[in-house]
Amino acid sequence: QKKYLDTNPTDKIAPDVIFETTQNARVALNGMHRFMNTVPCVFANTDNHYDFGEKTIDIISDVMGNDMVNLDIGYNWYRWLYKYQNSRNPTAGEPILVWNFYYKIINNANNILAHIDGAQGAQADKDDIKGQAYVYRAWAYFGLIQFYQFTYKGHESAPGLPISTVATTSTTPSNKRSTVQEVYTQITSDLDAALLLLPGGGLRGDKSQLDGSVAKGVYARVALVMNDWEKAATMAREARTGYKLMSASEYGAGFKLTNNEWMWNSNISEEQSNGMNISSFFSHMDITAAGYAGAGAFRCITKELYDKIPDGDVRKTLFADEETATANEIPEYTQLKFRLESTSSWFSNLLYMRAGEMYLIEAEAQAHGASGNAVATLEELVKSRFPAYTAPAGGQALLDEIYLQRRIELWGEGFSFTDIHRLKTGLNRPTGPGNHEPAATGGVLKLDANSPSLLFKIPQSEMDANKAFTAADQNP
Amino acid sequence: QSRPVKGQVLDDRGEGVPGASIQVKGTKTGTITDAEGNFILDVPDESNVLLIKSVGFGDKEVSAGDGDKQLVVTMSSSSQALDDVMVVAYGTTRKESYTGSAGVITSKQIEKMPVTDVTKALEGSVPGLQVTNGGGQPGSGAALRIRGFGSINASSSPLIVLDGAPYDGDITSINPMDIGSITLLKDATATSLYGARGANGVLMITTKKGKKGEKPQISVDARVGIVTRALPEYDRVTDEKQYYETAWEYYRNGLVAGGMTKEQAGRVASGLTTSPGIVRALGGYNSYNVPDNQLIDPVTGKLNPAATLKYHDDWQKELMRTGVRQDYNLNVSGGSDKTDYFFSAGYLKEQGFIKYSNYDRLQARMNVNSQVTDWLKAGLNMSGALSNQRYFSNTEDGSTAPGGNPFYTSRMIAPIYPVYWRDSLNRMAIDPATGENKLDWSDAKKDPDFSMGTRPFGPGSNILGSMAMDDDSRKMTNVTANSYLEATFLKDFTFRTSLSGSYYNSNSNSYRNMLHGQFLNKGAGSKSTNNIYSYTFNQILTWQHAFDKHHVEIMAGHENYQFQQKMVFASRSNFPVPGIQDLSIATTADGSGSETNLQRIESYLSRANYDYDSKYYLSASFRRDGSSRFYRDARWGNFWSVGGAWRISQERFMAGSKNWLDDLKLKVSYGEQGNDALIDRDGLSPFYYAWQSFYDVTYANGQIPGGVVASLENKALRWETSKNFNTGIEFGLFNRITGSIEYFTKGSSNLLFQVPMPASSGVTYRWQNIGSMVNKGIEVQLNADVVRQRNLTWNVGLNVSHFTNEITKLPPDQDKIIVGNKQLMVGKSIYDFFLLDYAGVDPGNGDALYYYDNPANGKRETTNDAIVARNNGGRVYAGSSIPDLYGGINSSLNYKGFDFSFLLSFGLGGKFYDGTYASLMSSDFGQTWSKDIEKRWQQPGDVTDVPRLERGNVNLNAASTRFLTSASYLNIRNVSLGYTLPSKLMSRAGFKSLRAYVSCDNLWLFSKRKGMDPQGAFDGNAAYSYSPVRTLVFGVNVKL
Repeated sequence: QKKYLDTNPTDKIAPDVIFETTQNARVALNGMHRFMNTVPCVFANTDNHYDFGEKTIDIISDVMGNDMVNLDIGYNWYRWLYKYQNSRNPTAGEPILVWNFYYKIINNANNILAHIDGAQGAQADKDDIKGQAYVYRAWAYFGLIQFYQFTYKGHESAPGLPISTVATTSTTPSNKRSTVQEVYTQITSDLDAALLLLPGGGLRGDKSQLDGSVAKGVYARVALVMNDWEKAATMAREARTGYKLMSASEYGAGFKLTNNEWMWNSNISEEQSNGMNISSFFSHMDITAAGYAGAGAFRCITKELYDKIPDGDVRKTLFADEETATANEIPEYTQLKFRLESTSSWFSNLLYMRAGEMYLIEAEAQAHGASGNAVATLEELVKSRFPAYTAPAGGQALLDEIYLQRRIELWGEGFSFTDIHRLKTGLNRPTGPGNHEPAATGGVLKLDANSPSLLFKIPQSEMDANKAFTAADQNP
Repeated sequence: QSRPVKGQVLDDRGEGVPGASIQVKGTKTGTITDAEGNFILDVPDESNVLLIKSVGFGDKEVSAGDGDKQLVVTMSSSSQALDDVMVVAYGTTRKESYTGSAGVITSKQIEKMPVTDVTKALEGSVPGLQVTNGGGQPGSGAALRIRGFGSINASSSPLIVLDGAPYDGDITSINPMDIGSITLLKDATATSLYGARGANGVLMITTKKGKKGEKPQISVDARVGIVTRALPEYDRVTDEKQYYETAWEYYRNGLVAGGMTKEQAGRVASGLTTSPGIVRALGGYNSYNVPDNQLIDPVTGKLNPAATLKYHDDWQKELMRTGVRQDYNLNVSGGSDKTDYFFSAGYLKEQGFIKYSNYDRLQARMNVNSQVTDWLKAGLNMSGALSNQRYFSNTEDGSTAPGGNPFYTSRMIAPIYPVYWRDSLNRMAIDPATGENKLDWSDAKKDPDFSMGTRPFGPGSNILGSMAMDDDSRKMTNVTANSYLEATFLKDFTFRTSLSGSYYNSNSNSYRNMLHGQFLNKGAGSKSTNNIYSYTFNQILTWQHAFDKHHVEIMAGHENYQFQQKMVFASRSNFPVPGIQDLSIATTADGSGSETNLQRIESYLSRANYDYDSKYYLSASFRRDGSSRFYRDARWGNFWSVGGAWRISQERFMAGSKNWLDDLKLKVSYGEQGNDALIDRDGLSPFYYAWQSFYDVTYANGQIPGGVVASLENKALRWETSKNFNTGIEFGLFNRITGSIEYFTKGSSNLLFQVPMPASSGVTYRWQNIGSMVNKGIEVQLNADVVRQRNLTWNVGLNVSHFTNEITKLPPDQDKIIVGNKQLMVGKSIYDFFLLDYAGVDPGNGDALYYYDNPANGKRETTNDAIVARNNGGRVYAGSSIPDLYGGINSSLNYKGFDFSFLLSFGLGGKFYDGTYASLMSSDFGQTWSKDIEKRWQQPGDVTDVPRLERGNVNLNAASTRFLTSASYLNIRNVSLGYTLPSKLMSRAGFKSLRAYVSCDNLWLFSKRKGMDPQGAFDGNAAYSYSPVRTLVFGVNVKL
């Protein structure tokens, strides 16, 4: 008779069932892969049409940078970040969007790491699941620290993040902010652990599953920020091994489906893509999709950067020139890089990491003295986009060229804000026709490298609920 | 020896009262009246007093006379009905013996109101009941709260019990014309018997039944009327000249703030440079016949005096209509000496005052009770309803979608935008697809043939067109069957078992057209089906015994309840042709799924009532509930109540006051109930499994199953506890005035909270029973028969309630919880506003100023930066949305055949945050402004409280006390006038009676600001929801 009052839902499963076997535990891991692009992702309701996981954070990074021009209209969900307003408001949705997203990844990884050893199944399976969880945890802390504190170099002892490495229960105590150094130590130790567990590239069913190449790719990004040039170069080179750069035609095909250059991407079904519809990356980027960009929230490259792309470079064709703009009644320099194939479906996969970035990391590290030839590395990449390319021989000119190529090659892929932090350049938004309109930016055109405006506020909800925090823990 | 006495019993309208009992006082001799109210009774010579009783009327004693002339007894209803039988939990009681607090609403009151959903007939009817207006969507209901607010994170809605069983169907499926009475159970005495579900009070709905021994009666009621908008629209800028000039100034000032000189900015705004001027900024719409760059003077900002208007469309007018409401009801009732029956059928069709919103309902009921043998009684009450509703999903959730919410769009859209498309020569055209005038869809790029430009407000949309071509609708089926068997044995014992089941199905359709707008060339559709199967099965044994002056009744029983919900949904897009909305033909899957929920409750219940000499009453109840919502160690709980009443007026020492004091009763009760209705903050999604820790496995990675951490375990989680104390007096004076005064406290503890976890734990909250809240209040009800004559009666009633709500405990380490524009804090109420404190406008530059604590000097100063203010103590408590007083005034007047009545409802005190007005004061390009924008600051020295216009400055119109308004209102809720033809005339024509009437609902609302809807929600926030309706109906009621 006791059973009469025991009832259970049909769309949820108890954790002990999930971690009974390694096969079940894959459910927890694949849930994380899906969480990267799920809608709604962080908030409970579906009203926030910029709540779609990792790619919204990529857009945030570019909106807050120098090279993406935004319009100040209601359909632009990112306009308050463009003005550096909501990132500074601890009760606004945006700081929550970033903070909660990464911490949910971390807790899911922690749950896997806490329970996987007890699951029944082959050790190889356990290693793979565990290794992927380590990569996620490292990647998430790395994503967070770049929004809520200045870069590693010179700020090692600054307050970093609360670090949790246990699966949260209702009695788990709150954590105080560890230092930046401690956060990076956690990140590199997780990545070291992951590299011991994950084999190299090529063993995965699809590229939403993380493997050794992705682990190394994340490591390369981290090492670059830590100015560990040798490590960055090595990791980047090893990470891209086995991947082929996109051809010019692949590059121009719309950045929507995986190809040989992509190292890590989503694995969304067409039905899931369609379910995201206007709350998705393509909705906010692609003018041909029936979403926000199509409704007028255009995303454009600055004229300043556009003019630096030479004619004949395939990457120049990915932004509307005067002719295209007139024909389509869109602003000049509107982006055409990220495009869906057809307006009848939202089907797409989302890019998280590709080999081109690894070339740029390697070249930059080499230009700073890591072993290898920076010029050759850079030319190998850029020539595949612009065959006539030659890189400067060395020195500051080479470094500046690498930084420029990074802006061109990775435009719209989410590196602007984090590079402003990493390179300590501050914000320098060009104005004038085709560039940023001062009113639309809320007057935010220049920020010093050490301006507190470059930091996201910690969400008020965290300030309130975290018992280890005092008001002094809030970012300036 | 005896004498025959002949007589007739009449009601206050002069109609015969059938089935009234006539008894010779002090004896067992008696009879009942026939269908016309006639009786003949042999009265023993030694007796002269007749006692006349009839349900719905007060008891009456008359002198029998010597029998030589016909006796006429006029019974009066309502205020004299002290001895009414009242439906309470698991049975009925006589009002005189009830120790608790309850409000009764009779069928008479309900029938007056031309409402579709009975929840809309309750406003202002009984003290202690707060009702929202429920909006104007045909077929929608209102929200109810009894005695304040019982919960924060669980439901605060009362339990609805229909004919004895908790009701899980759609309340709109219950035909208000079928309702015999509604009892509102407010205190512990009755609600404790609903255990874990009783904490928010209980609304007991009892449907009509026939009367034993009554001749068949056929009643036909037909009412037809019109539905119009009850609340006027806000005062807004509705002429093109004023709009262009205001928008120009808004634009220019924004450019000046961006660094331009005033002169340069004026030239840009007027379109004299290569940058977009005001016309281009507004999407290329120029309503005048002058070139775009000559429309506005770049220096003065005034419209070119040579300009004449080319066209003008009124969005409001195009979207609205006068709706027609038709409501036809037929019922047949009667009974033999063993069986009574009631059959009814009704058809209702209501058109909303916004085009394309409709509701219709076809409904039938059968209620039969039969005394099968002298010890066995059986009954079945069954009803079925089929209904259809067409609505707008965006008005249901109040979302601000220009293409989907007619209220939002027509309120906000700038007057310069045409509804209908015009060509360059200003001619309209016919759209071949619809055969009607071509609409302007305003997306020049994607839909150039249907676009005169691209509005910044709602580009690619035309609300009139999408309302016609899109669809949000549902078909509902609701079947309810309540059956019982009742056996009496061993003289004092009764055993009753009842089985009540209900089935509810809602089949929803949502479709977005493929011709224009967001789903251009694609179309999108989704279907969902929601099935609810629920039943209550109980077995109840009662022992009743009277000896000397003692009367004892003891009841004990057992009950099972099961609720099962099954949902299926699917969405597809890319339809081949317009018009067909079924999914099979659409090419692309957008998501599908299904879900099941199951809830069970098992209960043991008991009650004991005792009274002595109809003077002293005691009652006690006890219930033990086990709920599937909680872990097995925490799921069982005990709920109880005790109550007592003392009818002082029955005491011998009060005999001297008999001539003026009819009744005086003192009562007191105390008890405990539970609230297990865990619900999402949005009030929509219940939580059936909140105690458990789960992975949510709806996170498939493509084709691979996936799940993420969804919740944390709390095995100790249990229902909220409510402790209710009630005391009061009831009185009757001069045989004319009745009333009651009650005081209550309702303390909720173990409040369920989504206790926030630091987000750095990866989990945002956990459920815990932490927190307490208390509601305290006073309720007064007065009813007076001012005039009571054969041909003229006049009755006035008043009810007033006052309560306070206070949070007394919150989760530890969480001294405040911000919920929208409220902040929960110990010592404050659940609905206390917490807002920036507006300090007015800086006369020097037109900045909006807000008070804050300047961190530099620690002083309270003003700043023009809303974020700085918000982060530095700028937000303050600014009053509560809870009114100080609320209630209703009703009056009815009968003169010969005429009857007239009205009902007023009111709220005094309390605040309303008029977010709609705030939007109209902070409009962007394409949206219009409130007329109050005329009071804006324009030049140094202007003293006003409306800041300057400036595009892109969020500080000028931040949410603050500036938009907080008094919520006081007076609503003329209903006015009815009827005429009943003389019965003599009618009986010649073969009718029993014929009444013609006119009734008007929501005749007028008086509030602080035109357009404001202070009764829309309890939390005092405005929403872009379906505005309330005024319904005017003409009806005829014929009895055969």
